[in-house]
Amino acid sequence: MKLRDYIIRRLLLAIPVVIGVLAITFVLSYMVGDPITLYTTERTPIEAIPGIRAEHGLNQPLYIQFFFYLRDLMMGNWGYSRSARMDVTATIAQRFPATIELAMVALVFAVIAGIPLGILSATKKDRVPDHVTRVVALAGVSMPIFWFALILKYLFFYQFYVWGLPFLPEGGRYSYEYVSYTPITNFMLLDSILTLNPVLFFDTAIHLILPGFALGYLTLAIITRMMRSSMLEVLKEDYITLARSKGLRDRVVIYKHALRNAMIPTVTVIGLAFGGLMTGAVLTETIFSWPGLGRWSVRAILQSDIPSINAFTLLVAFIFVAANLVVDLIYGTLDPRIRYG
Amino acid sequence: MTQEDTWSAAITGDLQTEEAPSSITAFSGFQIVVAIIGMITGSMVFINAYHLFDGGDIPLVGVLGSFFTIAIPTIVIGFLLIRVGLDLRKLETYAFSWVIYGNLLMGLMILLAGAVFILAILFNLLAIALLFVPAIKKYWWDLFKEDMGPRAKESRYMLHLIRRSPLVIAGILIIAVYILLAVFAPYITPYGPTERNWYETMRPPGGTHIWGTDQNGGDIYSMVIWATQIDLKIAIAVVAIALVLGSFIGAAAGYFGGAVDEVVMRITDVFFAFPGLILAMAIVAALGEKNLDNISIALMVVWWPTYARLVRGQVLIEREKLYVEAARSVGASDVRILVFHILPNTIQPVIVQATLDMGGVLLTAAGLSFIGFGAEAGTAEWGLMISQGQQHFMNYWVTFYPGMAILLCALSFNLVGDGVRDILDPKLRRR
Repeated sequence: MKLRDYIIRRLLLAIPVVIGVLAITFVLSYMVGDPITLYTTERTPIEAIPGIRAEHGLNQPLYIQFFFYLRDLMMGNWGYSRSARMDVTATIAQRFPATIELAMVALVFAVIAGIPLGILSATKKDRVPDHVTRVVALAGVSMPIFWFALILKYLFFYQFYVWGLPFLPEGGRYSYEYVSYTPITNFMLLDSILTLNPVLFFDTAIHLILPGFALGYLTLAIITRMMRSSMLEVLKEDYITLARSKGLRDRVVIYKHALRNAMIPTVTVIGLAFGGLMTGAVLTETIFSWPGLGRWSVRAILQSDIPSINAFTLLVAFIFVAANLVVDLIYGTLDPRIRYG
Repeated sequence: MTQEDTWSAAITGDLQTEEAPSSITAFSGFQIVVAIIGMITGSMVFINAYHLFDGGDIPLVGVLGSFFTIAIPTIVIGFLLIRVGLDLRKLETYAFSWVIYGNLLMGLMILLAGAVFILAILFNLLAIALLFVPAIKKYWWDLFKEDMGPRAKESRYMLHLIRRSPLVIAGILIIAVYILLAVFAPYITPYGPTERNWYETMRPPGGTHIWGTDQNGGDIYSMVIWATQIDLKIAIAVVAIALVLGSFIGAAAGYFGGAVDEVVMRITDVFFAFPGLILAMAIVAALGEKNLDNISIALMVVWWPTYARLVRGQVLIEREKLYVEAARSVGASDVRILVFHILPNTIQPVIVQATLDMGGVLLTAAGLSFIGFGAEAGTAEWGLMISQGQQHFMNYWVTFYPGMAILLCALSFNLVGDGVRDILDPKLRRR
C-alpha cells in the first residue's frame, strides 16, 4: 500500500468516529435537561413556551434536531455560555490558548525528561538507576494529579515562603498586579516575545513551572516506561549485536542505532498522552486557578450549563481524535511495516 | 423539629444541642459469630470446591445450588415488583412499606443464608471425612488431575514466579492490608466517618488526633480509614461490571464476526475518542444528580470498551484453535463454546487489565470527587477530603494523608498488575 492510500484510508476511518462523537454529545446534552431552558427564564409565560419550542425546532423529531445541531456546529453557532457570560466560541478562543500553552509546557517537560530517563533505565537494567526510575514512573502513574499539585503548591509556595526562600506563585497565568498584559494571541509566552517584553516572559514562565510540572509528571511516567520497554526490545535485536561486535562504542550504539527504532512506539505514546494531558488539565487548572478550558468546564457542569459542557466535550474529543490520527500517520511514515502489514 | 422550631428555639435561647448519634456501628456478638462462620465456610468451600463440584457425581449439590440460585432472585424480584406496583399506584401503608418488607426480606435472606452455611459446612465435613477413605480420595484425585492437571501445573508455575518477584508480593500485601482496614474500620478508628468535633478544628497531627483534624473538626485518621470502604467498593464495582459487560460484548463481537463485530468496534472507537475523566464528567452531568452511584455508572460506561476490545482480540485468536473445532464437531452450541471453552482461555490478560484498571478507576473516581461530582459534602471519601482541604493546603495534613492513601492503593494495584503481566508474558518468561 502506498503512503497516500494509507493516509486516505486512515482519514476515512475517522469519519464514523467523528459522527459517533457528535451523536454522543448530542444525546448527553439532551439528558442534561430540556433544551428549552436555554431560551427561557423564570419570567417566561407558560403560554409562550410552545411558540419558543417551535421557533427553535425543538418540537421536531430527534433525528431532525440532530441535523439542526450539526448545522449549528458547522455555522459556528455554538450557543451562549452562562458560566462564562459570553458566547461559547468566544470563551473557547479566550481559554483554549491557556490550556494548550500549559499542555505544551507539560508535554515538552515530559519528553525532555522522560526519554533520557527511559534510556538510562534500559541501559542500566536491574541496577540502582533502573530501580529509581521505576519508582519515579510507577509513582507518576499511581499519583492523584490533583493531590500532587496541592503538595507542590504547599512545598514551593507556602513552605518556601516560610523558610524565606524565593517561592513560586500559587496560581494564575501572570502577576496582574505588577505586569500589564494585552492579549494578542492569548498564548502568553508567544505574546511576550512578540511584544519584546522580557518581564512578562519571565513572569509567565515562573507561573508555568508548577502547573506544568504537576501536569507533565504523569506523561513523564508513561513515556519513561514506554521508552524503557521499547529500548530493551530493540537492544535484543541482531543489528545491535552486530554494531557492538563491530567494536562501536556503547554511546554510538545506543544513540545512533537503537534510539531511532525505540522511538517509534514512544511517539505513539506521546500522541496518546495528549488525552491524558486534557484530563489532567481539568484537575490542574482547578488547583492553580488557571483560566483555561478545564476550569471552565468544571464550573459549567456544576452550573448545568449545557452548551459549554457540550462544546468542551466535543473539543476535547476532536483534539484526541486528531492526535490519534496524526500519530497513526507519523507511525505509518516512520515504520513502513505498519502500512504493508 | 422543623426549621422554624429550631430558629425560635435559638432565639429564646433554649436550643438543645443534638446528641451526636453513636457513630461507631459496632456489630453485635451474633453478627460477628455469623461472619466468622461465614468466613470459615467460605474458605472451606473454596478448598473443597474442586472435589465436590468437579467430581460432578454428587447430584445434591447441583440440586441445592440451583434451588438457591432460583429462590433468592425470585424473592428479591417479587419484592421489587410489589414495591414498584405500590409506588405506581401511590399506595403507602405500613403493611407494604419498605421497613416491614425490608425486614422480612432480611429475615428470609438470613434464614436461607444460614441454611446454605450449615449445609455447606456439613458438605465440607462430609467431604473431609470421605477424604480419609483411600479409595474415594484416589478417585477424586484422579478426576481432579484429569480435569485440572495441566491448568494446575501452569498455575503452580505462575505461583512460583509470583513468589519470586518481591514487588508483586508487596502489592498483594498492601491490597490485603487495605481490605482488612476496610473490613475492620469500626474497630480501629476512634471516631465515626461523619463525626465532627467543632471545638477541635485544624489541629496538627499528634495527641488524640494522630493525623490531625480538618477544618470541621473531623479526625483525619478515622476518615481516611472509613473512606477505604467507599473507595474500594467503587473501584471493585466499576471494574467488575465493566469487565463482565465488556467481556460478553467483546466475546460476541469476536466470535460471530461480520456486522456485529464491525458495529461493536466502531462503538468502542467512539468511546475511545474521549479521555476517560472527561466523558465521565459529561455522563455525570447528564445523569443529573451528583453522587457516588452516578460516578460509578459513568465510570462503568467509560470502562467497558477496554474489555470489549481486549476480549475480542483474544477470542479472534482462540476461535481458530483446534479445541474449538473439536467442541463444534461434537455438536456444542455457539453459546456453550463461547462461554465454557473460549472465555476461560482469554481470562489471563483480562485479569491483568482489571488489576491495572483498579488503580485507574480509583484515581478517576477520586478526581471526579475532587472536582465536586462525588459524594455529598462531609462524606469520608478520599477525593472529597482532598477537595475540601484544598483551601487549607497550608495545613498539609488535611490533604496529605488521604492523598497518600490513594497513592498507595493505586500503586499496589499497579505493582500487582505490572508484575503479573510480566509473568504471564511468555516472551519475557523465556529470558
